[in-house]
Amino acid sequence: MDQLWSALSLQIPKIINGALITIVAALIGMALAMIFAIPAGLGRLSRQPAIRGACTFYVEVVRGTPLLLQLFIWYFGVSIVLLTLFNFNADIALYNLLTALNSNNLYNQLPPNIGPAIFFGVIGIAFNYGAYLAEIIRAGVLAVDQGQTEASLTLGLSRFQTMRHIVLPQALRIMIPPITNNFITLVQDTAFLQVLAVPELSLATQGIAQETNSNLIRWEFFVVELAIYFIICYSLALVSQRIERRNASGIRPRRGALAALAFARRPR
Amino acid sequence: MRNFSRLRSIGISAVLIIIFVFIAMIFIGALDKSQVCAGSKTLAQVEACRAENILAPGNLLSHNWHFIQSTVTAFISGTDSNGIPYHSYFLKGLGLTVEFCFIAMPLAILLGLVLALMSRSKFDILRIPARAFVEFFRNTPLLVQLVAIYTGLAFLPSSFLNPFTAGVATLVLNYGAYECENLRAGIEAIDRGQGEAAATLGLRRVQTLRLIEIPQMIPIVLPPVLNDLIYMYKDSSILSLITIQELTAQTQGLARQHQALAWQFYIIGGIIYLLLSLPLGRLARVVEARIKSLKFNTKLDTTTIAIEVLVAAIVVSIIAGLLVNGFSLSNIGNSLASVFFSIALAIVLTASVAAVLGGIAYLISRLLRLVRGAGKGNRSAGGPPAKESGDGDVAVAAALSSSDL
Repeated sequence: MDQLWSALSLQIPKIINGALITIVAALIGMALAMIFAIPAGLGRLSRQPAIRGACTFYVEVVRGTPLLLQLFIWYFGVSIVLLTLFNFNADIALYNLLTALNSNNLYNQLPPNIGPAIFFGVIGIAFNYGAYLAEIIRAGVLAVDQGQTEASLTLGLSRFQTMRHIVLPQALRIMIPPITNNFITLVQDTAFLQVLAVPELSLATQGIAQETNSNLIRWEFFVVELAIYFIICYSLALVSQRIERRNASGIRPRRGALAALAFARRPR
Repeated sequence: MRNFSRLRSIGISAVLIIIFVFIAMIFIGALDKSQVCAGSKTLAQVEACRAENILAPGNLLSHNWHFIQSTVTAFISGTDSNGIPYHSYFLKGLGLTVEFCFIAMPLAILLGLVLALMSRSKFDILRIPARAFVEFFRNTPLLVQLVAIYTGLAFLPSSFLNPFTAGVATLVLNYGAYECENLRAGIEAIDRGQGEAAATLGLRRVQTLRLIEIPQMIPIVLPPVLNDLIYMYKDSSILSLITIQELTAQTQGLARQHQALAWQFYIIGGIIYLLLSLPLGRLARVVEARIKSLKFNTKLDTTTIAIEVLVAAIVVSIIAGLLVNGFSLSNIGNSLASVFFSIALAIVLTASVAAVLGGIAYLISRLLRLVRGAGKGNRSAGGPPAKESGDGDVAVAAALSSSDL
């Protein structure tokens, strides 16, 4: 018991650091994903076939290929293209970004040359989740009763105003639980950043676990790691459930639309 | 007037399409140019390469043509230094990916069925472990589970724990938890009266399940299960982290070995993934739209057919594995043995994880009950005696069994 505790207490700072990187990457990734998702989701509802086609292409291609492959493409492909063509160095970009945010000490805590991995890893995850969220946004907008749109158009509102004041506020309430679910899966998928050597929670713990020879201590680290993930995700899941239950009595989505939402929902 | 507005919308579409195609061409041209630049040796060549204007129509077209041509030739006729064609690597990877999906998914469905029945049981000793198992596997990353099982259990004999069995067992455990939720939703959708009527007619529990409940569940659960199969197809890419040479690993390996063709390989790999996942997704949607209006032949034994389909999937996976490795007596024996060992590993892991987590969850639920009961006792000491409205056990059970995540 003493041995277990001494092994753990030495490594707690590393684990906490990893957990912080996981949480920050998940938050930034989610924000970026929404930036990808909103135009793509609304674009899929556009009347213009070219815009619709382009957005469908993005959503289908990204949803049809694994995240791991996409991360490899971002890190080993896109970053090299940008480096050779525009001399864009993500490490310097990250450094400048953190300087602008007045938090340079954060950069010093990271391992050297990790900039491109974090930069393109987070963008890759956001690009991937943008497609899933776009489907949710589309399904949410479709779930709002058609009569609402017709009524507001009859009252003389423009299509933009209808979207902005009538449809989106109602759609948002339907979209919040599946978006929260996707956030849960995004937190879990930040574990993929370990393939780019970003020292987030799972890679940090793995590194520590592989240093020991004792199976018991190794499992101790895995249990701690899994428990941290479980606490983050399960609390988010409880929040999502509560929102869903509170919303259940609110607006009534159109028939069949909920099935579409369930389809857009990612199982993990 | 009407004609005019139609013409205008066609015109806008045409302009947009041209803009999109132009953007795509610039993107591909930039890829090709960066490959050419990376291939050039001296500094002067690099400078000249960088100075080339990608937006000039001639350059753009030639770069695009070069890129498409090199992608197609790399897939069709390209060979590595040993004379092995590139497409054989991709096909090998695809075979392994399909093998993993088709062996893990049927097992996951069976595990999900067991867990779903357990979590609907009225006995705590069955329900709480099942709920704890499901919530644990749904709320932790698949990647971490895989690494924990593979490196954490490395002390087991290598025939019992190798990359294959660890990968299959992790996929089964993780997806079993998700299938449990799907199947539970399916069971709950069936009218309770059906089960009661069957019981009145004298059917036993197993008979009710086989003859009444499962045939009605299948149309409800088929679309989400197909959907999960697509996710598993993509998620099996993480098996590349435990040295299994499936599609993503092959793509990444080729791209790493042949830097000059890296983008071509990534694009080929992506297209191969899309070739299976897009039709499967379309199929899931068609099934979802159609299946409720289909009339099932009640004389068919749907349950048996479903089990036959699952077994057939496992057989297909074994054959896919043999196609990858080549047919021979020892290969057949090996693959049968590895399937057997992965099923055994999955069962052992499920039982032990469910027991441990169930014990913890049971303890927590009892503790909560104790704490809440004490809190209520304190409150009621001063004021009027409070009515026991809900105890902690029920609250935890409700929290553990709430379905929608």
